[in-house]
Amino acid sequence: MSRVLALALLAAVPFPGSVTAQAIPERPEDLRFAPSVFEPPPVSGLRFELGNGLPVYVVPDRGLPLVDVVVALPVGDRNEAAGEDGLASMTAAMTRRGGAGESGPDELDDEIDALGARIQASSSWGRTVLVLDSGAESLDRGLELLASILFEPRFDDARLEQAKENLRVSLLAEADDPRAVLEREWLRLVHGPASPRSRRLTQASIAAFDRDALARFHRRHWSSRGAVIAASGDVDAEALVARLDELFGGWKPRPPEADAKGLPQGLSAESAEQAAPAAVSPGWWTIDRPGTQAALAFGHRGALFDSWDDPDRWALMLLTEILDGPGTVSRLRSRLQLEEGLTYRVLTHFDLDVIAAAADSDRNRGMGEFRVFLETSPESTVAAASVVLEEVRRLLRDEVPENEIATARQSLLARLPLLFDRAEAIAGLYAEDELLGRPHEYWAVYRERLLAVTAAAIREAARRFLAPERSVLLVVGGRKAATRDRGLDALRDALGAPRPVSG
Amino acid sequence: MKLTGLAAFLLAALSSTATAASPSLEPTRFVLDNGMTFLVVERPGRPLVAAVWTVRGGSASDPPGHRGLAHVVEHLLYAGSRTIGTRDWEEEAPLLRRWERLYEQSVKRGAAASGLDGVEQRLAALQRPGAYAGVYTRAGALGIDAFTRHDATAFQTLVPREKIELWFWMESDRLLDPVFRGFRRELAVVEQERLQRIDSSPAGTWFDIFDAAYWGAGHPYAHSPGGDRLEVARLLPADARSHFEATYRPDRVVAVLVGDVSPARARELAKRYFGRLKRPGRREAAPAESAVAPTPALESLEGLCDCRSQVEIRYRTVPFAAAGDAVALDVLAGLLNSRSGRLYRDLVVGEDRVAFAASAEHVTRQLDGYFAVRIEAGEGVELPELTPAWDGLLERILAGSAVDSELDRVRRQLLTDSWRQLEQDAGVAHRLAAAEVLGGWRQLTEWLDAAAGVSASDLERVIDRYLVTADRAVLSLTRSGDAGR
Repeated sequence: MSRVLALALLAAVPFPGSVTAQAIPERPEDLRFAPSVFEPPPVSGLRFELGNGLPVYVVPDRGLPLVDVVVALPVGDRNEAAGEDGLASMTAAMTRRGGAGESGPDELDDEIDALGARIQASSSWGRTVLVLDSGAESLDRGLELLASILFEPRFDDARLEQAKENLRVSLLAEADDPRAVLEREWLRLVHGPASPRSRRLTQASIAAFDRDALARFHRRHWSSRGAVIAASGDVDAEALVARLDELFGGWKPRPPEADAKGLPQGLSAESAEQAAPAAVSPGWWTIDRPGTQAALAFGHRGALFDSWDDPDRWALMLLTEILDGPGTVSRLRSRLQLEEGLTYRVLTHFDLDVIAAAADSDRNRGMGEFRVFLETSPESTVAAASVVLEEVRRLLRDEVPENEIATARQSLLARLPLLFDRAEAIAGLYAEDELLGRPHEYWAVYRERLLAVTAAAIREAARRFLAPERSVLLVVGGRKAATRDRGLDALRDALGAPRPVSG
Repeated sequence: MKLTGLAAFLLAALSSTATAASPSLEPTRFVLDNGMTFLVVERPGRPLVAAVWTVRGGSASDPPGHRGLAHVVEHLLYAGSRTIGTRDWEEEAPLLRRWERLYEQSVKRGAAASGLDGVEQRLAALQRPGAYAGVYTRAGALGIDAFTRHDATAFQTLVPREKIELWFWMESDRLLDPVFRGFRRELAVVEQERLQRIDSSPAGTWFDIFDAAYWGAGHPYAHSPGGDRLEVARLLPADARSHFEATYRPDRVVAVLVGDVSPARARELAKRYFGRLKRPGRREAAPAESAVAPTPALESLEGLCDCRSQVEIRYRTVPFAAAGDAVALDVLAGLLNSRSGRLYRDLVVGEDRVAFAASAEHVTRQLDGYFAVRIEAGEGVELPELTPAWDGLLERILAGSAVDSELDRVRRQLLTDSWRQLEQDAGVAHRLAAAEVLGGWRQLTEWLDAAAGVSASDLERVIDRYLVTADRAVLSLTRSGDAGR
């Protein structure tokens, strides 16, 4: 229908204010929608406990004949002692790959594949997860295999040797990868060389991996203490919990020996101070590297809170969204991509960690980062970095206009349903609450709290938690700064002259 | 916006054998008078509707000298329309025409025409970059993205279910009336995207070069959707417009909605909004599409790279099909992959292991396909050991050891995988759209049925017929640090 005709129809409607069913409005903003506020699904009825107290979240969904079961433990890189770099990940990977119980590695792979199931085990900074993804009819055997992998891994020597070969090959390749180099050096400058966040796999730490080291790490750290299970899909909740109880209900908590020794390596009582908005070695750093693209990262340590409901925390969520949310309307994307065409993608994240009274207490929390990462041409690094600096400074200087806050808020709230969009996501999110010590009510107040954040509160939080002058700017593969570069003076005033990273 | 291979979408399957308890996943299909096709899968209770439309035509239809054009047009379609993206269209329109004239002169002369910068500044004051995505973002829509592939181009949005009419408004608006603003800037962004993709994988440049050599100059698949840097830089707004007019016609577009929207409501909105698109006249020629692609040139290549030493062995096969040899080759890739598969067992973890990693893939597109085996060298392994290791493995399979239990395993995995692929609404929408554009969504279920029927003798047949040593091409990359050792 032409616009003219649509307008003519509108004019012909006898009751002013009503719109014909067939009209196409001039602008999308003129469309009227039924109001809708997303309510997170209630958690009541989803939580169960096994005989040993292990919490289990079950969200049935009979839509497809599939089941997901995730066992998550609060164990990861942060539990490694000095010299054990990479041991947590290696242990997790080898539980799955090195055979379990009666089965050698090949038999285990054969059986899982023959079920059409998948079992994966992996570990990150603060957690280890084992995931079973199986057809409903194979679930029972799949769960037995999952339990076997969890409790009686064999850490087969030949497979371990093969995995070590591959790690050594990977380590060589990492030196070739500009992004890996940027990541490693940036973290070292931000947290300091002694921080656990700066630890990296080395040829020496790989050499130290043997069957005993893996078995020891597994014995010492893998326990039901702080662990949680999330299950979803084509299951009957009661029946599944009964079966899980048979398999996992006897899992013992580890004696809290690690905690008796006090805080683990690298974290001290000064964690709150560590989270102050600064980098250990602030300044403008460079690494020479030939190539068609340069990469840079700008920022400092992340924030640390006592409570998930800290008003500054909500304000910083909005601030990050305003600076560089995933929509194209954020400040960095608008300027770097839409206005100047300097980059295809900017990635910003701001870790807003909470020291909560969780089972895993404050072990190495507050080890996060505020970071803006982007790639651009070698000629444009100074211009791009100066835009980032300007935009961070602007957040400290000026209050954000209301319409921008409204867009950021809308964008954050719009993503909320995605967190709950499938049974697997719901079970996982509520289980994660328990793992992190995040109250389930967090989701109930989410909308209300974001609505309450004011422009003044955002600026206040920016001033408290952002420190552009105490940041690290690390540029890998940029051309040498030249006087004609836009923004050169501002960058130098804030961060000093560029210095090459040594070592 | 991302560039992806089509095969990943097509190797997926919708299950026709899902249990009776599953909801009906058969889409409701309808076609508007102008030829635009809709598929709707109603999934009550989902807060977001996955909305995807796909147009037949991707980088394979880039004209000679304009490699990268389809991808540039995909980007330009986010620049808005006469309504979106401008502060005042009446004032902007003549300026934009003038800018285009000056820009064309500049490109042809190789020097900026006088007045170009001034006009560009005046335009900047009138234009609102990012306005298109802004409307969606403010309405709570997510996942605004697009993908240029060899044979098709796809645009996706996740829209809150109560605002589904907004998607109809926005997408019909840009198909009806797109304005290609910010042309010069978008070329720069496209170039950044290309560089990032290549840089993110040090072997990326080599795979582009291998593709060019393998297919041979002038073949529609000889260039990646990212195109050619110099040719992209010389593109003009008029090139983009003529590509848009020839390709983005309603009879070449398939739209798919998966989520909490009823087919009746979708049909009503589709008629009202997309019904405005003009049905192409009989004499309006579609872009040239070769029915038969030229035979690939099949050249082997060697190079140095900041990557793990590796080989890719490529055999020419057949175009995408949901039957026959194409499916048997897909199943063969399944047999070789996964932890209990032959590549992992023999080459990665076996006694005589040579590989850090190894995988097989059957890449099928509209015009042609190939079977690829990729092997990355393990510690201390020299590049020349890799290809013979693969040949040995292939011989062992042919020596009669493609066991029925292995085929059972692959069939079971394919079936469970086909369920997994139904979990994500956006994935379902993309797969349906891609299959419908290439000849009908039912190919997805047909493919699964055909895969279930593949026998050991089928595998032997396709190995004999296609995986012929004399007719293959090999890309050999040596890690730069290892060269000269």
